[in-house]
Amino acid sequence: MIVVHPSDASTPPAPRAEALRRNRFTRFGFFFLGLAIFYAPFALLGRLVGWIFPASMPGTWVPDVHTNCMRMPVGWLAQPWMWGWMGNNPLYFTPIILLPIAAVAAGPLFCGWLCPAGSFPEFLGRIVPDRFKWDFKGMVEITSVRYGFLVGFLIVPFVAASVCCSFCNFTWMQNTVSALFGNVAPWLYISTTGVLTIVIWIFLLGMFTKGGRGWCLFLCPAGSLMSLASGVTSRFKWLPRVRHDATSCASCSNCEDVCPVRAIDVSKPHESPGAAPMPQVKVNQLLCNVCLDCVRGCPRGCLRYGRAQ
Amino acid sequence: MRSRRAGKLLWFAATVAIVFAVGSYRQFTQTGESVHFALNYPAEGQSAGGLGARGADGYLVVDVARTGLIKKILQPNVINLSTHWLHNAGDTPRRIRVSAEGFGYPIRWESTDKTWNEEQLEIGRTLDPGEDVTVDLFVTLPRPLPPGDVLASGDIVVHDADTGDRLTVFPVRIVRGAAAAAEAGDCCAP
Repeated sequence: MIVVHPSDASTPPAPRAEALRRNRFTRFGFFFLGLAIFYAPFALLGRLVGWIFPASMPGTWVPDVHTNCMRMPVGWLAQPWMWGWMGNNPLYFTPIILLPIAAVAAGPLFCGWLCPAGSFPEFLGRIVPDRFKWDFKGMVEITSVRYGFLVGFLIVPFVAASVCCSFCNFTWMQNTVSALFGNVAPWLYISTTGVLTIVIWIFLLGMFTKGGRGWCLFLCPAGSLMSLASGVTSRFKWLPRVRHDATSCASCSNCEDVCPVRAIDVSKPHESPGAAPMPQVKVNQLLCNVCLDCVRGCPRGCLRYGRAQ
Repeated sequence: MRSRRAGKLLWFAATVAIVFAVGSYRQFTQTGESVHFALNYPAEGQSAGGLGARGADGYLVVDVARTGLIKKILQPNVINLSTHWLHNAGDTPRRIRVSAEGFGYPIRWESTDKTWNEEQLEIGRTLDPGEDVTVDLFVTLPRPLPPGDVLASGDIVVHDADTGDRLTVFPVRIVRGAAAAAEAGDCCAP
C-alpha cells in the first residue's frame, strides 16, 4: 500500500471528464479485443496455440474461453496430482504463471483492460444511476474478503465440492457471446448455480455495485492471484504501478469516486479523532486493476502510471 | 489497530466459511442437477464408468430430490448428464456413435467435438486409445414430474460407428429420494 501526504490545495477543480471518458472508451475497445482473443467463435489465442502445439490441442477442439480456462488452473495449484495434467494444454499456464508474471512487471493490466467477463458488468452498470448501487467500501474489508475467497477456492475441493466450474462467469460470458452468434442452446438449460452466477455477476456485484467490479473483487481467483502478485511486488519502486504524486493534490476524492475496484482511499485531514494531520491518498495495490480511470480522471494530474519517484 | 486487524481476520474467516458452505451445497446438488460422469468404451460392469471424473460404479443414479432450489422452481424437468470423459479405454482406434435406450422421454445430445454429427450422434473422426471427448445429454421429463420413485430408467450405449457393435451399455436411473437412489444403485450394480 502506498501512502502519500498531499499538500494543501485550493478548491477542488472539476474532474477531467473528457480524458476519463476517452479512457473508458478505449477500454471498451479493449473489451472487444478481449472477446476476439479469448471467446468463440473467434478464440484467436486458442487457435494460435493449437496451431503452434497441434499435439497438445487437437484441431478437432472447438476453441472457446474454456480452452484458456482462467479458473481451473488456479484451483489445481493446490492439487499437485493435477500438475502433470496441465501439460496437456499450454494455455493452462496463462492464469497461474504468465499473467501473474505480467502483473508483477506492469500490474494486473489483463483485469483492467482485456477481461471481457470483468468489464461487461462494469460497462452495463453505467446505465444504472449511482443512487441505486451499493458501495462495499466501508461496509466490508474488501481485501480480506477477496483473499478469503481465494483461499476458500483453493481448499474447498478437499472438504466439499469445488466451486470452480459451477460458478464460472467466464462460461456465462461465452454463452452470451455464443447467443449473439446464434447458439442459444446453453441458455435453454437452467441450473441453480448458473442462475446464481448470472444474478451475482451481472446484477448483484455488477450493475448494482458501485464500480461494477464486485465479482472481480470478491469471486475471481485469477484476478486475486494477479493482484496478489502485483500488490506484493509494488514496494519495488522501479516497477510501474498507479502512483500518487502529492505536490498538487487537492484531496478532491475524484479518484476514489471513479475507481471501479474501490482501491483508492482519500482521507481528509483530521477527519476523525486521531487521524493524520494531512490528507492521505492510498492506492491499495492488492485491489488495483490498473484501468487508469483514476489517472485520467484526476483534475490535477496527481495520479500517474509508472515508477515511483 | 488491534480491533481493525481482528475485523480483517473475521471477514477473511467468514468468507472462507461461506465458500465451504457453497461447496457443500454444490456437493449436495451434484447428483441431482448437472451430473458429471465418466464413461469408458469398450467396457462392461464397473469399468464402464460412474459418477465423477473417475467414477467406477458401472451405473449412474440421478436423484431429483437433490436438485437445487432455483432449478426446482424454474426447470425441474430437464436433467443434464455430462461427461468430459467419454474415454477410449481399449487399445484400438475407433469411431463411435452413442444412443440412449429405454428412457421413453426426449433427449437432446451435444458435443464440443468439431466432428460431432448431431443427427447420427456420431463423432466423425477416429478416437485414439486413451483419448477423451465431451458429450452432454439433456433428458426432458414431463412437467410436473411423473409420480413414483423411479422417474426414468434407461441405458446410454456406445457403439462402434463402423461395425455397429455395442461397446458399452451404461445403466442410468433417474429417481426421487435417497431410498430410491440406494435401491436403484442396488438394482443397477453389475
